[in-house]
Amino acid sequence: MSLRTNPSGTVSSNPKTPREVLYWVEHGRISSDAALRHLSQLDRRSASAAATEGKANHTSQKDRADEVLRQLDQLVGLSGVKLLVREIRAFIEVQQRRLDFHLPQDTQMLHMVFQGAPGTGKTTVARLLGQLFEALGVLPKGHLVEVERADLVGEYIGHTAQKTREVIKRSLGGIMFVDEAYSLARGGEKDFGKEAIDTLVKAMEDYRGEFLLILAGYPHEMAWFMSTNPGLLSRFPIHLEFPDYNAQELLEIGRAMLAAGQYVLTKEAEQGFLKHLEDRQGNWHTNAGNARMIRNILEHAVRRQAVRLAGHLDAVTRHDLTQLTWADLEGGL
Amino acid sequence: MEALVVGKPNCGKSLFVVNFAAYLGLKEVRLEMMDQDGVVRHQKLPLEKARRQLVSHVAHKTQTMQSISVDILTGRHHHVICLTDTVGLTDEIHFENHIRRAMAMALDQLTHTSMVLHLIDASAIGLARPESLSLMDEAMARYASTIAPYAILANKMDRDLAKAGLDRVRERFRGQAIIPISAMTRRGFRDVKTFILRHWP
Repeated sequence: MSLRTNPSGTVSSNPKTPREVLYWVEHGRISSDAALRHLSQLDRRSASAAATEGKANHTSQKDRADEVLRQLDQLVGLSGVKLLVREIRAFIEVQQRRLDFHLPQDTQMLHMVFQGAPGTGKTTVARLLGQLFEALGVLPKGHLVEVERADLVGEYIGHTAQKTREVIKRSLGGIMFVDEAYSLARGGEKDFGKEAIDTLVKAMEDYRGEFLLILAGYPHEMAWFMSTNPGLLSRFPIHLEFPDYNAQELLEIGRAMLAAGQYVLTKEAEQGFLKHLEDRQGNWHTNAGNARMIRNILEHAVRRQAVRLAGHLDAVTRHDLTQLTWADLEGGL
Repeated sequence: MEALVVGKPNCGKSLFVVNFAAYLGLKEVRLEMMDQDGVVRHQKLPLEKARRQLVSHVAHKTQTMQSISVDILTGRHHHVICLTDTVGLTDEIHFENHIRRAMAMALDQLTHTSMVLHLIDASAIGLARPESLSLMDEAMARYASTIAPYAILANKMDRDLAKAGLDRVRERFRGQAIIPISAMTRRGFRDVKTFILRHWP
């Protein structure tokens, strides 16, 4: 490496290239802190040359956010959730615009509580939110770390805080999704779950804006959980309700699931299925599983269809392979 | 991948490099020294000897670029990291020719390295010592954080004044990754390793 030749040869007030900066340092014209400032300025100049590139990057960021919203729209039902996600998106974009005009930023906490029965889409929405926040630049990574009580609570005194902190470290830059969060408070006075809650609450302050905490669980239990710790309710300003799906929505979910595997319900099967769902609506067991229950029923139907066709495989047409009849469905109900 | 270790004179860069290499499992230091004419020399040293030979209380002991290559094992993966020690960067224009040249080399290396570890002496903040916080550190934070993964290592946390110093560093460099360490007692080395692995290109 040779730094001995002066590239410009003339005396000017500011160095033009990084090489010149280094030359000046070597010859005692500027100190290293000034050199660093010059270097970063030169860097910025080359950065502004690549500004067009940055703009393209910006639009792709918007595209990605739109893509995530499109995926969200494809979910059946959940109108309240969709509305809120749009609110959050608009809020974030307005905040970024405000920053351009040097207006103070509102640092809202976006920690959330998801309440809903099993199979109502809590995890799916959380995953989409992670992608959305990553696309909008709120979270650097946007990954989802799914945890449950066993991941947070330790076996002996002091173990819990350590374990919880490790999980928090893993979720920095993304979303930490605590499923069945109420179980943290269930064990009573001496349970270590309390320690996990305290550590989480502390981390929410320490790593403000670096990660997002989503607590999820069944409505009843979550309401009780929030009442156990006075600081909790106020720290989670956003409450999302995931209502149970009605029969029509369940059927639509089922159709989408089948379409992914290129299966179709016959007309008769669809009517029978809808009638069955409508009859039972409101009378499901609370933990029946909503969308997950539909998946199980349909998977059972697919297996029964296979048995029905396996008997005369040679005569089977493409059409037969895609059709699920009422007879296939009925056995699984 | 190369991690460039920069900082003021006497803030513990050389000791950090040697001890961190030892922490990562190195038994013998294989030094690659590039002196100011760009000539590369290789030297093998046992750790203890390296510590004695490379580290000193007098500022500007390190005047060449010294690299140590270390394997980091994570599970079954081999990562080879090159820790590069540099001369201490000062605010004033140094009167000695060869030290200025060494600084220019360090800055040159800075423009195309893949990671910057910036050491700050947390125990000397607010004191009038060559290793205390200065304009150079702020300029470094602003520049280095734009070009590569960048972490501030608040060193000498084993000393009494360091705790207050760490708070000052946190305040001053808000938004940067700050890892409290002690190159002497090897405190915080695990966090440094985590940081390096997390930002592996």
